[in-house]
Amino acid sequence: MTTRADDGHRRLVPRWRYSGRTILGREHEGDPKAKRRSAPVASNITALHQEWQRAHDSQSARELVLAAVVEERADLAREAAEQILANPRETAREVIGAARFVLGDRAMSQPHAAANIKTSFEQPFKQARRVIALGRQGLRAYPRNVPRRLDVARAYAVLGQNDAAWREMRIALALAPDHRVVLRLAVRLLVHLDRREEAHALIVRHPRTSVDPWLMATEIALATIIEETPHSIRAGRLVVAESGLPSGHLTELASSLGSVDSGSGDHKRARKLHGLSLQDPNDNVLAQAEWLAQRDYALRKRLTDARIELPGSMEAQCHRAVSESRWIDALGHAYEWHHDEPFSSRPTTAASFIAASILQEYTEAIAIAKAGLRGDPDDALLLNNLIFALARAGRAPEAARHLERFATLRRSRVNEFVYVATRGLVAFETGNPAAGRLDYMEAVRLAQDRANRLQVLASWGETELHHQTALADELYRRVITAREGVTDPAALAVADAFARTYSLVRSARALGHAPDGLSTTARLPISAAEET
Amino acid sequence: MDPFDTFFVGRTLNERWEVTARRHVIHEAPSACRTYDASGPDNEVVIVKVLVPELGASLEEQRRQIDEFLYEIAIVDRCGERNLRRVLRALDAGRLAIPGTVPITVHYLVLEWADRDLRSFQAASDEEHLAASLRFLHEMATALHELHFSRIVHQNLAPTNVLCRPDGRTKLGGFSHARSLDQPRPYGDVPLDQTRAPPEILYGGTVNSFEDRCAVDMYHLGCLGCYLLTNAGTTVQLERRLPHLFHWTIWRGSFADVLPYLRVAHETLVRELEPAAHAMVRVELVRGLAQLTDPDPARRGHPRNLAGNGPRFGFERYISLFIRLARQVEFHLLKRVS
Repeated sequence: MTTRADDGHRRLVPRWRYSGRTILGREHEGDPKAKRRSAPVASNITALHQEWQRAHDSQSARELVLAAVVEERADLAREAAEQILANPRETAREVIGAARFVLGDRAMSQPHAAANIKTSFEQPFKQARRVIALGRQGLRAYPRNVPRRLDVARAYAVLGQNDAAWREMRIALALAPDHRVVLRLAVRLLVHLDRREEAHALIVRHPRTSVDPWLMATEIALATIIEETPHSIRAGRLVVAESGLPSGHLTELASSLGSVDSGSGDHKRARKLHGLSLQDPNDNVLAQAEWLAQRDYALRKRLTDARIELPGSMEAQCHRAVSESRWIDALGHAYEWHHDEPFSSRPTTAASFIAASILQEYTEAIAIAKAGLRGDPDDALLLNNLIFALARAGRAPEAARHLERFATLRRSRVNEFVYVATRGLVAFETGNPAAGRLDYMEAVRLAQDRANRLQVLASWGETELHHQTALADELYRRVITAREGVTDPAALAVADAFARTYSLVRSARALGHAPDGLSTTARLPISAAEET
Repeated sequence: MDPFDTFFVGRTLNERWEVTARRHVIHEAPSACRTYDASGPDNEVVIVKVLVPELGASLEEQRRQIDEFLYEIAIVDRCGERNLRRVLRALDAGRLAIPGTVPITVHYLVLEWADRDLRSFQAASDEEHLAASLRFLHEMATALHELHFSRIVHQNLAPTNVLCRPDGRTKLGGFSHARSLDQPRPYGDVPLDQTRAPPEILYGGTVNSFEDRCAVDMYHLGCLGCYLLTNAGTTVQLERRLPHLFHWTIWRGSFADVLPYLRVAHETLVRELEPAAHAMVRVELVRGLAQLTDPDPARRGHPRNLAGNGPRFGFERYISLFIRLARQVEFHLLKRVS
């Protein structure tokens, strides 16, 4: 069986995009507590405006427009800008650019324009190769360009060249050792490289962490990943309660603290914190809230009422679609999420789960799982989903090969019942139904809660149905029974997918299109009582 | 003409300089100065810069203006004493009493004549413009080098202060922001014009040492180079290429936090500067200007000077670079004519 869209955890690890697509928000603002320092500079714009009104010549218009760009006084220079643009041939290109800028045409593209993605899975890798080629060329001329170095590091991470990614990140860290964004991205990369303790040590010992709400949020998230007590909990609560910072600066911190409180069962405080985090959230906080809302009814209601739409919130949209059982939409958003964060295995895990277990689009599931494995070939969740999809697609030998490797990997992120069920499926498909059934029975036994057990039963039923064995009917009945009381939309969708296939096969058999291999008298080797 | 102009035009200052007309000059804020044309005993034309007391200003403010003006006169005098050839020379200075119910004293500074400033410079062709621009840069780099050697920083190198003399020479004027290491300004630094201020100042950094001020002069020289190539200074181009979030008027963080974004804007600026420079000198000129306008004052200047070979903010390498490039272009022009 495939594993869920996640491994049961989601932490607020910072989002990492190429600099051209970064959503500039509060995180990129400087120190939220600092007052704007007045620069020891003087303004001549009034004199220049008077001069332009007096002379109305091109020189005075140019000087006024250039001053307006620096002083952000477009209001005084609009007419002068129009005068310049009326005679563009007589004006230098840069001055024309400044005039357009004054009239509202910003020279740079809006970085938060989310890409409309429905292209091949190869596209992020092609893009990464291009970023590396251009980035290295640019860095030869301008080696101190930190955003470009971060882009190159990210591109290396996308291609799975982890050492090169970390090398670039280390240089970026050396160039801007106290920069909030660089620190958070360094931590993000270390988490991706599975060097979580190192990531936590980096953030916890940095002096800025004790005063910066964004770094505190990251520290808390990392501490929960490595299952340590966060250092910033106390300071973080003080900042949230007393700092008086705008909610946009507190969003991640409040969300991190709320997630900790949710985990420790303090739901009342968690709800307050999540409420604060959603006042001015970023896409990462929104995704966290949508993810939590899959399990928290109150939060789901709050999100449904608020209907927050943010640029770049593909992950949040994916979680929302999962909550609302809109599986085709969820798959589409998962693809967009993958294009947004191609180095991360989470979107590809989600997409392969939805494609394989719910939509039964095995070819797509194989493609997306393979795309995810390029960034991290040893990702156990993805490998499991790939094996499942391969086995279902009739590529059993390939599935068996991957299973052999899977057996040797550290599978801490994959629940044992998932692994055992997948092993059972591969055993079935490689011609050993007895071993397969034993594995499935073991998986049913290992599955701790009702939702998981429902998924195992549905997966087993699907396998039996595929092999036209007598147990399919009994498993169908068991799935119908086990369905009651389960609220998890993904588990229900898996059960529904099996039920749908079962009905189709039944109908086909009734019409005489399928061999009659199913017997209603067949009995499961284990009873419902034994399952529990 | 206002009453002061009516009074002043036609006067003879110090029995030598006859004021002939008011000259229209936009003085940078904060300034209470006016400029007049005058003629000397040998009929030579001169410029007279006059500090006109602001009647509405407080006594303290008037005192400050007078002290600042006297400081400027002292600096220009010192440049003359040290025979700095590329600095506009002071010919005379003094004061004039205006009788009335409340007698007023105005201070003036007589400077040698300059036809025009750099803004009105025009060349017949692009190559001639380039040759002249390189000459301007060379002259100004030399002027700043001479000033720094005399322990004076200019702090206000701008196209308006690059003055073209009738004999074809270019000189540096506008010493209202200048500062001598030997004699601090009586009221601290004069604020720089925003449109030319280097990023470290715009983003709330402090300029404390002589070296910091040399870095500002260096940035201004690069800014002038950008202006000559594109008609717009570096600060304007940097701010135009920054996302709005990082514009200095709204930025709240430290200079170090904004520096990576300034670097990206600077790199874009330099790349877009390249097509504006003639292919003959493109690589070296643009590289030089990029070094001069580096947004990080700690990295500004020639890499060899940064590495410890020569004074930290030395202009010698740029003086050599600009004159070499200028001669290269001039030779090319001559060859074409011949």
